[in-house]
Order: sequence, then structure tokens, then C-alpha cells
Amino acid sequence: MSSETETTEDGIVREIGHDEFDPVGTLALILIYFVIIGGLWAFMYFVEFLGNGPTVV
Amino acid sequence: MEVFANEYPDEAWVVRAALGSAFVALAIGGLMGLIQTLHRTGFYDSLISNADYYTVLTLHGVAMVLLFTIFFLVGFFQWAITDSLGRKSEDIRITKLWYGMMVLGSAMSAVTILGGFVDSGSLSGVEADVLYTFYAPLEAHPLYYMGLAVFIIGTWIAGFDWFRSWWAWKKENPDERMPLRTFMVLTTMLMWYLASLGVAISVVFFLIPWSLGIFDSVNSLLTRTLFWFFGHPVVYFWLMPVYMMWYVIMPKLAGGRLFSDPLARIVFVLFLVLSVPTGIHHQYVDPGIAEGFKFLAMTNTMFLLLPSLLTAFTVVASIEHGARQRGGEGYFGWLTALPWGKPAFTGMTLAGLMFAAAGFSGMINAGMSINYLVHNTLWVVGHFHMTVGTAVALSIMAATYWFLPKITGREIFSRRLGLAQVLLWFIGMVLMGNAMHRAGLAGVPRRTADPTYDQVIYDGAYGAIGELRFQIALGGVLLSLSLVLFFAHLVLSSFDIGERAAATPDSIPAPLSGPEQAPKVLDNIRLWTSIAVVLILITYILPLASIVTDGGGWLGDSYGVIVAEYVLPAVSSTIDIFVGVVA
Amino acid sequence: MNRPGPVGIALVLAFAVVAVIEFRTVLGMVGIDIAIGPYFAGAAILLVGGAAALFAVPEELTPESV
Repeated sequence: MSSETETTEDGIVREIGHDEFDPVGTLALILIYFVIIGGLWAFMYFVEFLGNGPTVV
Repeated sequence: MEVFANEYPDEAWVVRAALGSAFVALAIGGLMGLIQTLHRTGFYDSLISNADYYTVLTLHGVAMVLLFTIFFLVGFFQWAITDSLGRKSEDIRITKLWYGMMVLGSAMSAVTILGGFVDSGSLSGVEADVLYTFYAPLEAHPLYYMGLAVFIIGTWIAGFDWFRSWWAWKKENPDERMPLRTFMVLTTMLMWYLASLGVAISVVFFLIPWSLGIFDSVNSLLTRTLFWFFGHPVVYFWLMPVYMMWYVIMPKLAGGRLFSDPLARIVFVLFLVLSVPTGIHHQYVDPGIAEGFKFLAMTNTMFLLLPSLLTAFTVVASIEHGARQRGGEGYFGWLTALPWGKPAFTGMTLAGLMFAAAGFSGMINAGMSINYLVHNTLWVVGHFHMTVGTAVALSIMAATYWFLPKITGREIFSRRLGLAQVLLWFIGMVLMGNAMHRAGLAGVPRRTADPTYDQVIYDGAYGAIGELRFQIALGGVLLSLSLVLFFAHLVLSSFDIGERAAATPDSIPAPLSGPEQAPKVLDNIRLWTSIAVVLILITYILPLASIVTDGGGWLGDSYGVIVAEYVLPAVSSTIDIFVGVVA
Repeated sequence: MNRPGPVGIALVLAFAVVAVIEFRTVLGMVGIDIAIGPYFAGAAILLVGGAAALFAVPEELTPESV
């Protein structure tokens, strides 16, 4: 594999600098993750308190 | 600039040797894993007896989480230091010495574990069926503990070796910022020095004399607490090198640049500060440690979510940058512009995704109240197979596809095979991890050869337990297949000698937001280490004091220190001590 | 959007296997049962499809095949 193919494989078609880069896709993914986590957090209530009786410490 | 293997042949030799040791451990541990998954699900339990299961389990644990991970990471760190500072090892004999010590220590421990399979002859008394956690009063042959000690001292010398390189570099470049990879290695090693102190004290001062017969007993709660002093931060010792891969390699593979160098440094500083004072969260059900101390450990643990969430943001933003440079568009369309054909990239992304899921089961484990529901069940096993077993292990295997050409000087055998391997691991682990979590919720215990009892019917929230067992076994088989592909790949790559030379090294692209943006104080590792020490003292002094004063002294009064009646006196005396301190 | 290449198909099918595994549980909990036979058969077909797609991946990758 030569360095030329390396460049093609990177497939970079444009340079995006610090100020032009707006990571909206990252925001979208992280929001989805938080929605899932939040849903699971609510679900936990059913698992812990309604499913298995009292937790004895 | 030359390929690493040609530019630093001596260092590359050590890196290759360390990786070789890691993969031997992976092969042994993987074989044990296959035996276990078939044995305890009941699909094939005639290969080993239930008694030998614990030998297999010990070998699986030690080989995977101590030898495989740590051998790989010392090799990777050696590369990171040498490459980022651009200088040879200060004294290659020291470098070879620490590697040799780690091998010696591993061999000593491995012999005693393997002795567990032999019931007669000269090895009959040599065994170490103590599991990876070696809780007293489970007792191993002295050689087992000595081997662990030698191994850990080897890693300490490795850290010293890397600090020496940094000091020498600093002398020649007094005005330059510490390179990011060096920063990551050094903060990780400082964390490791603090963390491994606990297990070193436990092994050297208590368990070795005890196994040699010098002491009659040990305070089992004390050695257990010292184990977890090390036992939780050690997971960050596995994870931080993987974070380095995600921060350094993934943006490069994606065709982008690291989003922010300062954020990466902050994450590593947070790990240095917060990793150690958390271990008690593994002991939520241990009587003899007051609830207040457990609560403190929980608080510290929840703070530790922060660096991982920061990492999720920084790494995803970095690969998104790559995707957009490659022409990606839209809120989600950019995902299709990522280089999914590269096994290194795909493997690490899947590992990261699995880590996001495991993060949630980790939050459950860390919560004091809900932990009681899952403690000592298969849930926990599911959790750490998704964290160390995938986030770490899959990242390591995937990174190997990128890393191997750097240290051998020749290309890997096949990307297609690599892709098949990482995808298979992902699917296998989803099956096994998911079913383990569910089986744990149904009450199936961990660390048990044959978890069937006449009086107990496991009641899953949905589906029969038999189905979960099948999924665990199937997942385990797929994971083993994935390992076979991985090793086949390594073998085939090494037969490719001279066929295709590795690409001329690509430099790691500069971050979008570089170190010049990072406040100077971030590099003040002395400050961060001091804060870490203070936090450790706050979290551990009182519980350790109460364990010693109320638990029958340094050596315990009997094996029965951990008994339920013990809770109340411990709580009251803890309060006394606390009141005494405050007053 | 471009049609996905073989790598894309393999990846999507891998995720489909995962989705089948997870959703059967989720559906079961809300009362919709999928029999075990079709479930494993379905997951197996997806897995085989993914493997087949991988065989179509060219060894020397170009940006178009990704």
C-alpha cells in the first residue's frame, strides 16, 4: 500500500477548520443516548420497586 | 520519517514481545471462556468437573484482565512514549528488564493456577483456585502471590522508564508542552502507582506471609478492601489506553482531527484524580464497612461518569469532523461517510457503542440501593464483559489491525477477515452480555460452576431461563469463533513477510483545538497527584481504621470476620471515630 | 444518498441481528410473543446475509465501496 492509496482511502474532499466545524451530528447522537438513558432510568423504577419486593439493607 | 519498526528497532522488539505475551494470554483466557460458557449453561459439562471449574475461572480471569490487557497496554504505551517524544528508550536494558519481570511474574502465577488441574504428583499441593479477586480465606500457593508482586513491580519499573524518557526530553525541550500521548501515559501510570499500592500492600504484607505460614490468619475484610482499592482503578488502567486509542487513532482513521486536545487532557486528569477513591462500591454488601463510607464511594463513582461522557462527546465530534471532511452531510447522513471498511475503525466504534450501553449497567452497579438487586449475580458478569470484554478487548483487537504494521513493518493480511472478526465479536457479545444481564436479574449467581438448585426456580421478567442459557452459550461460541479469526489473522499476517511493506507512517494529525489552548495547569501533574492522594486519604483512612480496630486487628481474629452481627459495632465505632475527628 | 456498499450492508445486518435479539425481549415484556423458532431462524438468516455481504467486500477499498 503506497502513500498515494492512503490519501485516496482517506477520501477527504474538503478541509474543515476549527471555526467552520459545527458538530450537530454529535449533538443528535448524544441526545438519542440521553433519551435512551432517561427511558431506562424510568424503567428502573419498575424493576427495582415493583418487580422484586422490598430491598432489605 | 520511517516506519516505527525500522526507526526504533529495539523498542519495536519490546512492543512486539509485549503484544505477543498479551495474545498468548488472550488465547488461553479465550479457551477457558469457551469451556466456562458451555459448562455452566449445561451444554457441555463433562469436559471438566465442577471443582475444576474454579481453576478454569481463575485462569480466565487472570489471563484476560491482568495479563492480556496489561501486556498489551505496556507495549502500546512504549510505542506512545517513544513515538510522541521521538526518542529512544533511555536505557533499553531497563526496558527489557521490566518486560522480563512481567513475564517472570506471569509464569510464576500461571504455574500455580495450572497446578489446580493436577491432583497428584509433585504439583498436587500447588494451586491457586482463588479467582481473580483472591479473597481470603481462599488461599493460594505463595508462588501465586509472589508472581503477582513481581508482575506489578515490572509495571512500576515500566512507568519509571517512561518518566525517565519524559524527564530527558523535557531537559532538551524546556519550553514545549508535553505531547498528548506522553501526557496520557504519564497520568495513567501515576494513577496506576496509587492504585496498585493497595494490592501490593495486601499481597506483600499479608497474603504472602500468611500463605507461607508465618501468620495464622489475615483480616479478610482488610485484604479484600485493599484488593478493591486496586480492583476498581485497575479497570481505568485498562480503559485509559483504550481512550488513548479512541482519541488518537480514531479521528485519524475517520479522516478528521481530534476535536480538542485540552478536553482530552482534562479527561485524563479527572481519571487520575477520581479513579482510586471508588473501590468500596464493589463492597456495598460487605458488612463491616459503614453505610456512610459506601455512600462516599458511590458519590466519587458517579463523578467518574463525567470523564467518560466528555470522551463520548469528544470522540464522536472528532469522527464527525472526519466524516464531514469526507463529504458527509446532515444530522445522521454523515455516519455513512465514515470509513466502515476499515476493521480498526469499525471495531473501535462498535466497542465504543457497547461501552455506552455498558455505561448504563455500570450506573446500576454503582447505585447503592439498586446494587443489592444485582450484586453477585450474572448481571455483573454481563456488565464487565461489555466493558473490559468489549470496550477494552475489542478496541485492542481492532487497534491491532492499525498498530501491527507500525511495529512489524508489514501490512496486515486482510481487511475483510478483520471486519468479519470485529462484527462477530460485537454480535456474540450482544447475545452473551444481554442474556447475562437478564439472567442476573432473574437471580442467577456468578462465580458458580453449576447454578441450579432444587429449591430455586429462576424467574425471568420475560422468557424461560433455558433460553437465556442458550443465548449465553451461543454468544460464547460466537466470541470464540471471533477469537479464532483474530488469531488466524495474526498468523496469516506473519506469513506475509516481505509481501507488502507497511505504508510510510502517517503522522497523527494535529487537533482542531491544540495544546496551546489548554491551560498550563493541566500539565501540572504534581498538583493533580496531590489532589488524588488527598481524596484517597479522605475516602479510605476511616474505613480502613475501623476495619482494623473493629475487625480483630491487622490479622483478624478468625476467618469469620465478615459476619452479619458485625455491622452494628462497626457503624457505632465509626461514628465514634468520626465524631472524635470532627470534635 | 448513495446506495450502501457491501460493508454498509454487512454492518446494517449486524445491527439488525442485535435489534432482533433486543426487541424480542422488549416486545415480550409488553405482551407480544415471538416464537423461539422464527426468532432464531430470522437472526440466523441475517447473520448469514451479513457474512455473505462481507465476502463481497473488495480487499483494496475505495471510498465508493464504503
